[in-house]
Amino acid sequence: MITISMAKLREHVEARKREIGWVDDDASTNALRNKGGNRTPEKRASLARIDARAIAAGKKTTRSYY
Amino acid sequence: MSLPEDFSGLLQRAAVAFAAYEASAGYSPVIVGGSAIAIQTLGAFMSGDLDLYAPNDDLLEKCLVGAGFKREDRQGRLLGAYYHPDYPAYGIEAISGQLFDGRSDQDRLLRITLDGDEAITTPSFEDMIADRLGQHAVDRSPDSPLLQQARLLFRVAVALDLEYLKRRVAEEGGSFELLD
Repeated sequence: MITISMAKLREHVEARKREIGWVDDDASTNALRNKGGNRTPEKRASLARIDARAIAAGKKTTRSYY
Repeated sequence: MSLPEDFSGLLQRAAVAFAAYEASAGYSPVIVGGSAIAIQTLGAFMSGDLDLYAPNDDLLEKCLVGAGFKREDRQGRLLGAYYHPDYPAYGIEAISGQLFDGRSDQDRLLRITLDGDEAITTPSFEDMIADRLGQHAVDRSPDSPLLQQARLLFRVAVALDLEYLKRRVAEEGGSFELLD
């Protein structure tokens, strides 16, 4: 087991993102997002329920394809 | 970008359950899939569902419920699906089988300590990269998000062991060369 604090992980990953010029904008984020083509029906239903719960609670949903 | 505040809150609550699970089982549940990548890339993209490898279903349920999570009660739900009422935009699901079919090195699991004493566990960066490249080998689309995820992980990873990574990519049926 390798242990690292979230603070150290954050420091490292943010520094690496700066070094490689990575920007977490909509385009780069969307390129990483699972487009849903290979999801099982059960997983699609699960994601739909999560979105429904968030909407019912007046919360922002996590954007996902399903 | 950092992890969204509500996702960090969810992780804190989940970590309480994981500590209880580990105290009883001797090992912690492992966060896998998209959520593990979201954590390791600090929210470069987010996933609404948090998949867990935790072989003892009954113990996991006891620990999650003890930490304030609710079990989904609708018909047709996935086995072992949970949510926390304070964080309704996320779900937790237990997955079956062995972690990476038993091929990963358990000593390389990444334990990430949060504020306080709690911690979460993810696979190593190497295992997550290999997992994504292995799935990409099946998908094969040139703009596959799985390949993009693998490449980003490769570029931001903490202390990669390249020999282990190459071995694991081969075991998962992926191509190491695609990381360039």
